[in-house]
Amino acid sequence: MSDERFFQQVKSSLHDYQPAVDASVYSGMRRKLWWSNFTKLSFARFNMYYLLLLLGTSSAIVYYNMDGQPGSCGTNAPVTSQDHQQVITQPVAAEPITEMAPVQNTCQPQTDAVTAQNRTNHERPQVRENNVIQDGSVSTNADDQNQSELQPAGEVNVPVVTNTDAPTNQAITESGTTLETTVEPKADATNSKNGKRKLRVPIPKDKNLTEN
Amino acid sequence: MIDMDEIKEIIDGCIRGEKRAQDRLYKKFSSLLFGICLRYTKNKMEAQDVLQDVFVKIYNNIHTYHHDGSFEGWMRRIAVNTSITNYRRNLKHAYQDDVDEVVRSKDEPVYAEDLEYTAEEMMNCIQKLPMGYKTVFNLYVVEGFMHKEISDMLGIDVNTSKSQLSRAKTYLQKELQSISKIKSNVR
Repeated sequence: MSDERFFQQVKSSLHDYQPAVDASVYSGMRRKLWWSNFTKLSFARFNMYYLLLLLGTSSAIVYYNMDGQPGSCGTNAPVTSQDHQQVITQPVAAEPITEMAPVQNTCQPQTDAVTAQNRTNHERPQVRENNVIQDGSVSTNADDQNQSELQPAGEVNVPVVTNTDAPTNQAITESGTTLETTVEPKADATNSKNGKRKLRVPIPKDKNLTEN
Repeated sequence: MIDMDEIKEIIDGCIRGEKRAQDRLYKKFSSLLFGICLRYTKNKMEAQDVLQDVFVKIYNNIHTYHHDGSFEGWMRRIAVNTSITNYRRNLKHAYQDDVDEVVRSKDEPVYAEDLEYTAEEMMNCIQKLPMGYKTVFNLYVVEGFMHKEISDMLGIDVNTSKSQLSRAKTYLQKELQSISKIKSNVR
């Protein structure tokens, strides 16, 4: 048998050979077609390049926002070391707490988030001492209210627990700062001068207080 | 018989990216193209994978068809080219198969030329051919390419193409001979 005849027989046998195609092939073809269109550079439809552009833009926005100070009033003024220095070295003892509150509440650029935090951390014990001297007693609810006004936006508000029910001792507890002092009313009356003098109570133990 | 107006309507719909037209094209020609893919691949799974690539290429390049030739022939050419691309991708494995699987016999097979073979029988025999033999045989016998064209397409020497065709023919005749024996025993 010649080659040509054999080849012709093979060709005629395979003519119009059309086997059945599984249904799963169609879904796979659709997936490949979608991916092909998605990866093809085209301005007419949403594709990978639009997605990359979107991701890049959003990443750039997030990056430049984090370069300033995130989570504040919107402006992104950089925080300098001078801002911190001014707040720390500022004298704070003479100011009553009721006058400070509105100043602290005005929302300045992001540096205020840091300054308010530093200010409250350093002022809190001294302001309370002023109230102790002027009123002749440890501030209770009004002081707590002023303390809450000092809290900047975004800072965790630590409540000041004041034990007003105790008959002899006023316990001021500031959780998280390890400041715990017990003051007797008797000591306030003897140590105050003209109602203006600051009283520091650096006594670490209750035993010393009772001895004075 | 393929209605030319219907084909033109499907093509125009595919150019516009209409899913309905794409589905009609798939239903109409998927079996035909799957048969071509089966001839060039090792198994059904690989043929299905190649068929998916063929349709993706057809949909993405259908705007390049200018109605100056047979649309079916244009699609067949895409199927063959995609199958050859797949073959060249797996060329190292195919060469390994050639070395391992070919059984050379010095005896010329006694081929029963009067017997008729069904398409399935012929396809089963072609599927058993090593990949290199199968590709050259299909390109030469079924698609009608010359050895020079085949050598260019596959990146092989012309003499390699000729020898692979000769071996493929011998191998195939031997396979068909065994089928003939089974058929004669049944009768």
